[in-house]
Amino acid sequence: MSSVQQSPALEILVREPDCFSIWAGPPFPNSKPTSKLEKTPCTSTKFSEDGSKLLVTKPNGVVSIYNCKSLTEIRSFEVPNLLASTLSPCGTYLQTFQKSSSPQEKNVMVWNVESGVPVYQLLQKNMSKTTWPSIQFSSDESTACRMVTNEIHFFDPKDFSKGIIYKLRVPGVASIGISKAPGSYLAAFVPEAKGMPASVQIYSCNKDLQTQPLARRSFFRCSSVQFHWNKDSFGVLFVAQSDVDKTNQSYYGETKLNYLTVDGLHEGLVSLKKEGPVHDVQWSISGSEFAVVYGFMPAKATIFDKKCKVLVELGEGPYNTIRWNPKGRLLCLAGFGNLPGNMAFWDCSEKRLLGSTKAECSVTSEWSPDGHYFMTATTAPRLQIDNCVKIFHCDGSLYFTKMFDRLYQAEWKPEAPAKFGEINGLVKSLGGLKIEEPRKQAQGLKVAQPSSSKTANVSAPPAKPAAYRPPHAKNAAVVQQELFGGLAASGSGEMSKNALRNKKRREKQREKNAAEASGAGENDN
Amino acid sequence: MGRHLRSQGVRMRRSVLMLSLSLLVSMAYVASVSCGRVQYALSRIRNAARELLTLDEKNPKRIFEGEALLRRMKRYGLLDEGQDKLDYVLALTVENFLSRRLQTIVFKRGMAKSIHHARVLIRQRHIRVGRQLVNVPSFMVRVESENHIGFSLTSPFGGGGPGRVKRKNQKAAAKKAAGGDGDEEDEE
Repeated sequence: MSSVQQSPALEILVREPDCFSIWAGPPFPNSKPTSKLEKTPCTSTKFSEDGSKLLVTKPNGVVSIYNCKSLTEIRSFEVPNLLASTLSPCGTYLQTFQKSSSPQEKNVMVWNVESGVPVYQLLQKNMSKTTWPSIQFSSDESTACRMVTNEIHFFDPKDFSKGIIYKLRVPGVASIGISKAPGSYLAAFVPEAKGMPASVQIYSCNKDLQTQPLARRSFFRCSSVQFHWNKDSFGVLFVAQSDVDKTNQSYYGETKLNYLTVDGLHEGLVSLKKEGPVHDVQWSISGSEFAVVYGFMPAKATIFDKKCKVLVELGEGPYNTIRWNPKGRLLCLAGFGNLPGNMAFWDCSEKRLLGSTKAECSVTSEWSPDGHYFMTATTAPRLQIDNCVKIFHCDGSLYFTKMFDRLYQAEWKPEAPAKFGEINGLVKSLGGLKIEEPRKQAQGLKVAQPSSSKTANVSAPPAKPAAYRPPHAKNAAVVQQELFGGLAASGSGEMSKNALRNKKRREKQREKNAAEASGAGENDN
Repeated sequence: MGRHLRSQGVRMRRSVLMLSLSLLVSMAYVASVSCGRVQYALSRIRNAARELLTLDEKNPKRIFEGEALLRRMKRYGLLDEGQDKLDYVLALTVENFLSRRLQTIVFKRGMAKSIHHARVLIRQRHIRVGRQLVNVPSFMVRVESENHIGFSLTSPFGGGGPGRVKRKNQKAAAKKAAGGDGDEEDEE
């Protein structure tokens, strides 16, 4: 780890059935983590987005807020019939949702954490994915707003007692996304209605500019939308999902990735070269580029800049998750969920694969806030056996693993990435791990052997049982390559796969004939 | 491309019958006439490529016309970036051409509910390519214009005012409200 003074220590929160504990983060002395906070009873835990406060729900509807620096409880709230609770991004406010016992009772309360006093209450009948949290904050808490039928209400986050400062009328709005930092824009999604297409509109949060949307995009065939705002609010990426695929290509529906910039520079689909669903899209931490994993398996991964031009093509593979390193240059492509758990670590600025490994059956995955470690966890209730926590270095080598009987949650304590030093030194030392591009192997025909392509690409996977290849399948190398895709940044200009395979087959056939012919005593070239 | 349509009528219909069943089913929205038109265009392109391939590699005609042909194919999205040989032109199919029509592209990009809806939208002047309103479903979309397809600015889908039918209904409703019983009723 780089020797930078005053960078905050990493911490890991681990929650098992009924209790949670906090470990001091890596590097671990004696290969064992030291516990900073011993097992404390709880039913659920969540850090605030900036990592300053920890929300702990205890049984019997008690909500405690801990200060993360000292790990002491600063405030405790009694909230009967508690259904859900959440902290605002800077930890200033707590929102709770209670089951309403009487129709008039206001069941959503906003509490000020410091003073413990409820500052705002409202009535909300139902809670769904798009309507919880009821009041959404931007990451710097400069804007707070709430969506109701046909309108969006804005509050002043510094002073909730003012109530609703102004309203924005958007007929038919179904879900909203506030831009993160600075929180000055709002994206609203209006689904299809009576022949009018669905649309996503960007409004300014400033009251004076609110008469017209700044940008809008209309489309059909969409039932829900997920927003991904950029870090400096340059634009919003949204994934439009529909449950039924009208092109009849997928049983699971279709997804389309659109990009809408605030200044109208780009509005429309992001042109993706491969057909299929968009598995994951993530902005980098700096906000100037985003990575997309798309297409039917093996999925393609591409990095675009914020003007929607292709920066890097990361090849194909069994991936459906992207995790950007908080320090910006590294990227982990992984295939979790129903994929076998391959992880590939890339250095994007140098377009080089650092290493790849496997983490089977992982449910969650996260970079450490300083960017040196990558933690994956297998958690219940999704998987009931093999619950464990694995920590990898940024090149994919396994650093630490611990098995649990039952593990519910494992996360890093969030910290602003700027507080940590750069990881340049670490990445330079990995210069020896240069990977041969499989493209070179494909073109050096006779030299391509299955063993060399495998050892070059992979640092330390578990041993695969060798697939049985009947003796006539001499094109084993090409088949392996097709199966596992080109893991290095593939440029353009390859021969088409069919042409290549035919050429190889012809060569091998010629060799075989030559061997047989010479064996039979005839002369051959 | 379709200038000699009438004289090729019989030949086209026969060759359309030769199209694979799957192609006909998937492209059923395209009338057999335009399928035939596309086949005719494809066969002329293939003839050109075949003739160029018989020439010597360094023949200036082959180089010049071959490059021009490849450039046109790439421009219309029929060939990918990596396919820069005349052999790939010979491997083109009718499906490649049909999937570059504005009608298919409007559907594939999610701007229409179905392929028939796409045709209706185009014909009813809702779709623009760049700044230009395009009314023709068989418009061959170039690769660089593909990202600039949107609803036209005057269309109700793209931010313009309500369309003819809606305006008429609003007027009728307003008239009814005003001349009905004299009450003030604001119908929007």
